[in-house]
Order: sequence, then structure tokens, then C-alpha cells
Amino acid sequence: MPDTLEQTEGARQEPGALTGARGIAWRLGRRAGSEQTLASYALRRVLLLIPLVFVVTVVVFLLSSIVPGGPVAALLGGHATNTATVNAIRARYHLNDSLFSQYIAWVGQVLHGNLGTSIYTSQPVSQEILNRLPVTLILNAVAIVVSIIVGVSLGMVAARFRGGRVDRIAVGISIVTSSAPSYVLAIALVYLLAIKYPILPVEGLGTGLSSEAEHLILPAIVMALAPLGFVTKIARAAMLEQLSTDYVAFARARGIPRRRIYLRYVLRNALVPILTASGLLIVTALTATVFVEDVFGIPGLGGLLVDAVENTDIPVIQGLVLVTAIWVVIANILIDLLYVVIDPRVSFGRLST
Amino acid sequence: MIAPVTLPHRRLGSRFARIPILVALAWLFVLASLVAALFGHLITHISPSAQDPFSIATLPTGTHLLGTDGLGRDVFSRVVAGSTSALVGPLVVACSGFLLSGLVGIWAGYSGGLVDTITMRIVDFMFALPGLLITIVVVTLVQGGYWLAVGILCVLNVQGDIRLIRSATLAQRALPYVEAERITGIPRWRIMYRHIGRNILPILLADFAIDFAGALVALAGLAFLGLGAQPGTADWGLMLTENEQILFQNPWAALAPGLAIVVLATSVNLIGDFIYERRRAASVER
Repeated sequence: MPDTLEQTEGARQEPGALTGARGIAWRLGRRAGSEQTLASYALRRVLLLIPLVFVVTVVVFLLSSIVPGGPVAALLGGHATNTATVNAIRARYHLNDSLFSQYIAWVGQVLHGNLGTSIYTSQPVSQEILNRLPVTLILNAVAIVVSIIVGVSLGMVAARFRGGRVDRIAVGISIVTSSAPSYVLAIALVYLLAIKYPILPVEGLGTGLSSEAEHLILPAIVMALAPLGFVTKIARAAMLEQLSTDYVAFARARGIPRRRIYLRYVLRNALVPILTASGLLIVTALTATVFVEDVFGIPGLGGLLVDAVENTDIPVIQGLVLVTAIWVVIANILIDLLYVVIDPRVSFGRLST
Repeated sequence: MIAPVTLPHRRLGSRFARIPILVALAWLFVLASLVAALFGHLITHISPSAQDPFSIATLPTGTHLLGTDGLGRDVFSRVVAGSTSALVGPLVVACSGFLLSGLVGIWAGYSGGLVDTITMRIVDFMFALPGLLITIVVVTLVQGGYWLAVGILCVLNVQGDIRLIRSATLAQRALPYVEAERITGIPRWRIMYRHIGRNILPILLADFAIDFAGALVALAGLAFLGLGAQPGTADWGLMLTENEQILFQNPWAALAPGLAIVVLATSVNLIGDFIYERRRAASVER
């Protein structure tokens, strides 16, 4: 995870420079100059996506063209060729049409849920992806929730006892977990908990709900560790900043219990920069999925990507890139909408500060 | 480097007294891997590619300090030899990050206006991209190797740096010395890259360290998936994949390169953090 420090400090140093959702909300408010409803805010956010979706689809469409040998080579996937086969493929996939009409045809297919056929397994790509989506979704959701809960608590405790032993331990955990890549952590845990002290299963998913859950414990731990350091770091910095404000001093002076100040006021204010960072958190978790599923042999999207990469299975890669893009975009919209919930000052585009 | 005794934050002082030991250790490890990369072949007496069919996947012994891998190659020699590809690619990525973020970040921060807005929108967009996944896909499709991966990471690693350098430049721009220089008629580029650049140099160096650590982890990850580094080369990421299979016979074959990645990345991050914190403490003092 390369961006931890920049992210923390960037968020810390420039409260005036509004980025992401706050920036957009702020600009919208300025332009409209009046109160907006949540519905129209959400609608505007969705409308902003249209150019983004367009760019993503064009890029995914062109992916097969950047393969050495072009789309035909991509579709053949390294099989032996002769002129007749090539011509047949060109005719079948309309490769003789203009690029533009090919694109339109492709988008039409995608809208009907047809992402093509895997070169390697000859299964429909959409089916492959749908089959493997749930387990990846669960792993990512668990990782994000756990890392936020643990990271924010750790950051809060570290900020409370700044400079003390607890703080040092928290900072240490943060530095090590943000430096240790998930594939190393995964292998180390496999060694520790499956070979040295065989406690947990480490391969595949097993059958039945309880077995599946048991098989997912280790992968989920590794997944949650990936963004943990980063969350802790940001939470600690955000808490420290809040703790140095006047309102905390006042609240202390008035005799409001520390617990109440921390949980009620400091935490809520500190959540804003944490939320800003959670876009990066989602990306980090998604990246970790690829490695974690590979090491633990979990049949999810990450494993599918690794297989597709090994077999140069272009249609599957295209489908996965599309799904990933949609995933990141939806997550970012959710984050934007969460701002409104957490920080009333951003209410639908007006910033009262 | 050492905070004065009169510093108002007593805790800050004790922080400083503590960190250098760790930072010194971190420097020591970085230097050790540099030495390994440059003179590794002189340290090890066994060639990293020599296969010994009579000792396959053995545990550490006197001759093989970390045992052997599945082809009977000496793990210790391979870890030492792997430091080359672990250092070279990340160094290139970090250097390009240093140059790009310095040029663009200072320019955007100093100019403001449209230049700044466009730069920051692009940076915001790049933050939402899963950089490593994009690298995986492109390297697969183009069937490129290590250097293609390095090239892509050079571009996709730069957004955080630019954001940070830009905000540091914004802070500098408000200082009287910049105003004075502008009035004196000192050329723009000179103010930007000579004076502001020199003042925010610690931040650029901290970025350099963090880029390095990020690229190290990313490149090793690509090698782990069988991308980038060529099969057969002594590369830490590649060793992890190859030796994952013999985790039962000789766990050190996979754990040692993994540990090397973690310790080197942690060390470099620690050094970067330290440079940055020292700079912040200095500006608090002022």
C-alpha cells in the first residue's frame, strides 16, 4: 500500500481543499445556490457517472486490441491457426466491421448480460463471474468492516494515550501491516496455522455453511490486515487533530465525561477524513483479494483473474475489468452518500463552514 | 535532529529519543540489501542458480543456511541475489515519482487556477483506480515483462505524491520569502523549482521512500502471480510462488524471501515516516 502517508497528510493538511464528495457537493451547492434534496444530489452524482462509464466501456472494449496479434489472437488464445480459421473468426465476431459498429454491437451484448465466452473453459463469462462473485463480495465486506472497526478503535486508543506504550504499539502495527503485502501474510499464516499448529483449514471452501465459514476465517483475517495499517494511521491523525481543538478543551472543562466526548463528538468529526480515505480502502481490499484467493485456493473473482491471466483468457479479463470498474464506482457513490449521513454540514451540497 | 530540551511537548521529545534506534536499524537493513545487490556474488559461495539434485527441499544446514528449494538451489544465495531486482525496479519507480511529483506538484500548487484544478481532478480520478490490478491486466495482455510493469507503476504511483507536494507548495507560497522573491523579479521557474523545491525537499524524500516501498511490494506481487520477473530468475516474489509448494518440506524457502520483502518495505517506510515527522516537528517548533 503505497499511499498511506500521502493520504493521511493530504487529508490533514488541506482541510480547505475539498476533494472527492465534499468537493463535488460544495461545487454543486455553489452552482445551484439553493438547497438540494438528497434525491437530486444522488441523481446528479449518478449523472456524473455517464462519461465515466463511457470511458470504462471503451477501454474494456479496446483491451482485446492491445494484445499482440489483435482480437483474433485474443479469441484464439494461442491455439494453432490457419487462414480459414482466422477468416471464420473474423466473420463470426464481425471483426471486419468498423471499430465503431463493433463497439456498439459489443455494448448491446453487454447490456443483455452477454460478456462473451471464456476461451479456456468455454463457459459464458457472465456465468463464471456470477458464480464466483458472492464469496469475493463476502470476503471484501468482512475485510472492510473489520479493518474499519479495529483500525478506528486502535487509532482512537493511540490518540488517547499519545506517546505512550499503547500508541507505540498501534503505530508499530500500522507500519508493519501497511508494509507487509497480503501474499506474504497469507503464506506466513498458512505456515503457522496449518502446518506448524494445524488449527484451521487453508485450502478451498469445503462444503456446507459452517465449513465454508471456517474456511473463510484465515482469508478474512489476511484481507482485513491489508488495509488495517492505513485505517489506523488515518484514524489516529484525525483523532489527534480533533483532540487539539477548542471544543474538546471546553467539553473537558465543563466536566463532560471523557468517554462521551470521545465517542460522541471526537469520533464523529474524525469519521469525515476516514470516510474520504475509504475509497482507497476499497481498492486496497480488492487488490488483496487477488492474492488471498490465490494462496488459499478460494474460487472467487481474484482466483478467476489469476487463472485468466495464466491462460491469457481475454474475454474473462474483459469481464472482470468491467465488474471491477462497476464495483469501484458503486462503492464511491455509497461513500459520497454516507458523507451526508455523517456530516450534516455537507447536507446535499451546502457547506455551512 | 535532536529536539531541544525546552520543547513544549515533552512526549514529542521522548518520541524522538526512541525512534532513531529503529530508524538506525532500518537504515542498516537498507544498506545491507544494497551491499547484497552490489556484491552479493562475493558473499555467497554457492551460485544462486546451481541445482543440486541430491538435496531437494532440505531444511537449513551448515552448507545451505536456509536450506534448498524444490530444484535443489540454495535459498540463501537466491535471497541475496534477489535483492537486485528488489531494489532496481522500485528505485526507478521512486525516482520517477520524485521527478514527476516535484515537477507537476509544485507547478500546480504554485500556479493555482485552472492548472491546479485540472491536475487535482486527474489525481482524484487516479485515486479511485486499482493500480495494481490495472498493471496485472496490462502486463498480461501486452505480454510485457518486468520493465513494462515498472513503467506502468511509475505512472500509477504518482497521484499521492502530487497531492502531497501540491499542498506543501501551497503552504510555501503563502510565506513572505516567496512574495519577496516575486517582487524582486526572480524568474518563476527559479522560485518554483529552486527555492520552494529546496524547502519541501524533505517531503519529496519521504515520498521517495514511500514510493519505493509501494513499488517493491507491487513488483514482488506481480512476480508472485507469475508476471514481470522472468521464470528462473532469483526474485523474492517469484521465490514465494515457487516455494509455496514445498512449505511442508522447507518452510524457509518461502518464508525467507517473504520476510525480506516485509522487512525491507517496513524499513523504507519507517525511514520515510521519520523524515516526514522530523520535518513536521521542525515546522511546529518554528
